Amino acid sequence: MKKISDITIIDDDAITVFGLRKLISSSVEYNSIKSYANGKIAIDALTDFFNNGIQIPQIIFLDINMPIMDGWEFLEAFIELPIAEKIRINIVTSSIDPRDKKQWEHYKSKSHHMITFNQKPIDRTKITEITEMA
Amino acid sequence: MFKSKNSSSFSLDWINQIPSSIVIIDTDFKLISASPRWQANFQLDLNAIEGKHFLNLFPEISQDLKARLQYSLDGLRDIKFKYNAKDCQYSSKDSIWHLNPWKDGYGNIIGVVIKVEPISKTQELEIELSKTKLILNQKSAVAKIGSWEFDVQKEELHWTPIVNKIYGLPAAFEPNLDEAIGYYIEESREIIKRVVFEAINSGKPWNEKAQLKREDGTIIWVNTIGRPKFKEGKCIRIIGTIQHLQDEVVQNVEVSNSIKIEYPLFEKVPIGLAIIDLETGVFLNLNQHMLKLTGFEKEYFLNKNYKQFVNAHFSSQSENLTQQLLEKGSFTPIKFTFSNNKKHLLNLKVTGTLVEDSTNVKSVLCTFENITSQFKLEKNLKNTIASAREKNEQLLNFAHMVSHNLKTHATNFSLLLNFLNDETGKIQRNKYMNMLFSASDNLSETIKGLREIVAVKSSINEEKKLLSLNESLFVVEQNVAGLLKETNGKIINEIPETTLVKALPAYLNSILTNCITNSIKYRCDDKKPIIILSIEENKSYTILSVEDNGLGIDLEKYGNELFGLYKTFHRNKESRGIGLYITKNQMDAMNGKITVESKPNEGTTFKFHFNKK
Repeated sequence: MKKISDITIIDDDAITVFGLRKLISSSVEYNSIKSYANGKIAIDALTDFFNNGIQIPQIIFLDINMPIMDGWEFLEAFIELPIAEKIRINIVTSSIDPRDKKQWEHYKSKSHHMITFNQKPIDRTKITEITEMA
Repeated sequence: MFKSKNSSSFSLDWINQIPSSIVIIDTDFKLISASPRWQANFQLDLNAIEGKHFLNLFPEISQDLKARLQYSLDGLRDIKFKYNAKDCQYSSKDSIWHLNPWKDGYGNIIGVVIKVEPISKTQELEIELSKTKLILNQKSAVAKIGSWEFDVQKEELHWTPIVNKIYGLPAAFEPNLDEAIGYYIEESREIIKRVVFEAINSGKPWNEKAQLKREDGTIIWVNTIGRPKFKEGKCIRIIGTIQHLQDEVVQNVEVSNSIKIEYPLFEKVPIGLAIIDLETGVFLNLNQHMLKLTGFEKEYFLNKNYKQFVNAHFSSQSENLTQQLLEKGSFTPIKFTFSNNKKHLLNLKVTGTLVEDSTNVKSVLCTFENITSQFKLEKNLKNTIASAREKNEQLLNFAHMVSHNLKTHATNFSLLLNFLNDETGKIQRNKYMNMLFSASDNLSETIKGLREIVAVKSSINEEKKLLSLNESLFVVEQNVAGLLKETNGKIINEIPETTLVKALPAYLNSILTNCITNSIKYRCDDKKPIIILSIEENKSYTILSVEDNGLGIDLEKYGNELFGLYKTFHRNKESRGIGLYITKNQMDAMNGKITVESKPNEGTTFKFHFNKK
């Protein structure tokens, strides 16, 4: 199993977060998993890390439809942070709205981070694939 | 009879100034002149086609066209002809050709004026209709004009059978020139002899009224027109027409002579025309069609400024129009509304061209077109499209939302069931079971929300009733009493007892409950919630204001999404993101509006506009 340092999950749905945590823990070795219930809490925490020189998580799982600050707004703010490393951001959504795919392409081209678009459900194979590539 | 000297040599200069697409052909279907617009439409140069046989330019449609031109020459007005561009060599656009007889100052038909207009769907239908009419009219159109040709060198005279009819001669009779002239009564005979002589020797065309003694001895008035044709300086032939004048036409001669006709086609063109003085803006002349269009007498307009007849928006542009006229010689078409004599509003389109007479006085030749029916259709269509687009958008959003939300639950179920399947430990299994129950509760909640939304969309057809606002509020206050007590909240009701609103009872209840619970739910932690209800009235709405001292919403950030489905703006577990969406839909369904003013940390005011109708 490949060892990943830190993983962050941003999703307002408790069951999804639980599921992701369980899948990840049974597929990869990692240092820590943190989860945030919406984009605002997440960006506040990550900005804090960045300002204090704490390691930014290598992998982020990002939901789109969240209250207060949704996934797109989070991305907008996140790519503004001058982070040198290439972070892998996995958008995980049940949306089939083509406008969401457009948004993804927009952000993908704007950032040096690796941004992928994934339809729910995420299974073990997918998790392995994601973590291997990071 | 010598008054008519000039009338056969019309100046055709006006055609270069007219903004419409017009071509003129003579009785032999030879192209006389065409407006610049027509030349542009068909990509033909007047120099190259002047004098050419018109039908040869359009061989593909010549048969149809010929028949119609013939009717037009017989005096039938406004024959419409559909030009199918794909069948023809010239012009890429389908159009409608309006055929009208071209008349000289005495009402004699000396050719056909064809006005080309872009086609619209309504016109297409209209043409189908008039085709039928045309067939019915054919029998009543009495052919009264005969044409003839005289070969000067061979001294041979040929004419059409109609001339035989006018002379009262048998169809087989073939005349010579002397015989033909011999039928005129003595006084007229001298005139005819002279004009023929002048035509051959000095190339002067004629257009004369003369009296003819028919074979049966009756004396009739005829109009005879002749045009000499020259080759190498010698007159080789004369072509012309002869027309039996009805009594009334003869009587009219004196009248029409006294009217100064600046543009020979002014009265004949099938569009509204007016001449307006450039400097003073007053109407100098209007044609019959224009008067028919507006329903007023000529005196209603004459010598009055055009600004009296148009709306403020139009008259405010007068400087701009003058500038356009002076710079380009014309102005871009303007649409405006005009109230006709029956007080019906017409939508008119006006174009104008600068014209100058021999004394350099500048005036504006304007065309007026009634576009009311097109305008109405266009407006209806636009409305329908806009509302269809909105509905479609809503539907798509709704579909995406529903699929998204249901899919979330479905994936959660499958995820948990998979875990449950793999797990043997009892404690862990119980934990998964509890999560499954909570997932099922979430699903029920989502479906309940969707059902509420569908209920709004499907009960639009119910009737609104006049309801006492305070009575409805009383019921709602009872429902939220517990919540109010818990939070030490207070409702201040400033609504007059007599206030009635027109609404669906269930909606009103839901709207009020929703709004008041929101105010309490999103209160400031350090303040007791206070809700102030008040009423404003305007012409069409009764407006209920609900003001609170709560958290407020950052409208700059969330203003667009405020009434969207599943949009939540506060960290509050009770937020579902459905309430305001439903409220908005309910207000919309009752033809009302909802507006909002808010400042973060100060409070929010929702204004519910209840339509009085």
